[in-house]
Amino acid sequence: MKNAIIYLAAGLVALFLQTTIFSHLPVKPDLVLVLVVCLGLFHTPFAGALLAFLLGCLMDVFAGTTLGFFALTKTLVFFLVYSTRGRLYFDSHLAKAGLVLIAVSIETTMIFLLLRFTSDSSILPPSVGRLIIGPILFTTLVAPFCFALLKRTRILVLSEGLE
Amino acid sequence: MNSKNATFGKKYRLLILALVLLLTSFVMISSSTGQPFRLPLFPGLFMEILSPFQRVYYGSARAVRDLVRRYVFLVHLHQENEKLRKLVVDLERKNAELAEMAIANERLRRFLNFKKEIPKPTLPAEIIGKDASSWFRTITVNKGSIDGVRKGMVVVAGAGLVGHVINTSRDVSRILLITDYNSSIDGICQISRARGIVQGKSQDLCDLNYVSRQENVSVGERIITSGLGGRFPKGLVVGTVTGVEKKPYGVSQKVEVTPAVDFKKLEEAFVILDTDQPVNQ
Repeated sequence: MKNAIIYLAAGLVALFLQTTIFSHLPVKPDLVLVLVVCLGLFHTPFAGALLAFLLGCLMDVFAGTTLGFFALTKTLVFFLVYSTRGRLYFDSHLAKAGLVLIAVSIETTMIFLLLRFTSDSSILPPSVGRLIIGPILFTTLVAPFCFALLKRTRILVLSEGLE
Repeated sequence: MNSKNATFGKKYRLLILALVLLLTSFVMISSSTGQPFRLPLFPGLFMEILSPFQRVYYGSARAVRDLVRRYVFLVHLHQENEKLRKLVVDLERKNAELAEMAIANERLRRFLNFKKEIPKPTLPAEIIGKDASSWFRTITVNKGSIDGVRKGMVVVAGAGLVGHVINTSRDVSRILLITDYNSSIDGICQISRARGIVQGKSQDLCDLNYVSRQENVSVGERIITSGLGGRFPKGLVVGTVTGVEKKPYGVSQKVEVTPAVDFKKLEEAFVILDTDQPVNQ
């Protein structure tokens, strides 16, 4: 329960940052996705999947026009990360950042495809940098800090590490 | 037999959960695609929780910016004073010209039997947040259902059309900007009277689609709302034509529109509370 509260609170903080401070920048990172990757790496599949779904729903409240859009992408990302967890080592920050890079690229592709089906307009080449490359790189860069911060928070609250 | 069932349950429990969650997402998407969603109590609650922090952030950001403008830039005050004096002279001249134009305009309006329309009631709202993702173009304002804001209401700024309300909670509302991919508005070119659909394409730009090749749309022409569709009243300024591309084939031409409102600098907007009446042009 404490875990769920920590993640939901972290989700709210992430969304606060994304809707305010990061909104002044030309590209914004997807901090909620970093939380979902964290859930996929370190948590039980059932609680993790439900939390990833809830974090996606929370993102739907503050972004986009379709309820369930980010709930779908975040849940899928969770299961993809969870499926790699037993197969690869993600001990170093670099490896975790690499996984975030893959996860955010997969989510971006999913969003791109979903938008192609649900929206009349098509994404034009000038938008690619701002919508695709920028957020992917920015999210990957901030991911190690988010992991470290979340680990510290969890140690403080639960008196235990992430791994 | 029982242990076999338990193994089966354990093995497929995660798969069932995944299917349930993904199916729920699809149901949510299909039920809200094509129409703005109504926030249920639970998500609305999260919007309410975050809104005081967003207000504090935008309030402090404005205070800091004002402080910097007032005190740090005092160094250039003398040059700025000189510049402003010249500007005052220019503005006074322009003001006199505009007053003359207003009189002429009024005379012509009367001459053409234009009906004087009553302005609609509007509600000023401050922007307290922007979209959490890079994909969509929405903003959050500090007025909600308690202030009379309802889903579908039109939002304008001094320069022109901003968008429309897609969902509301008690104290805050979210606005879909005209530059979002999901935004479609029936528009008319003010001079050529060519009609088309203004669709957002992010990057703070829009396209006027489905404009016939026969129409002579020119760069610099203003695009206004046509009033068709019922949501947007007729005559609201959408933007200006900044590019026209006629290919040797096809039935329509490509018209690029720059919105009248600068969304990067947008701080306040007005929610039109009643959309049934036509507005002043």
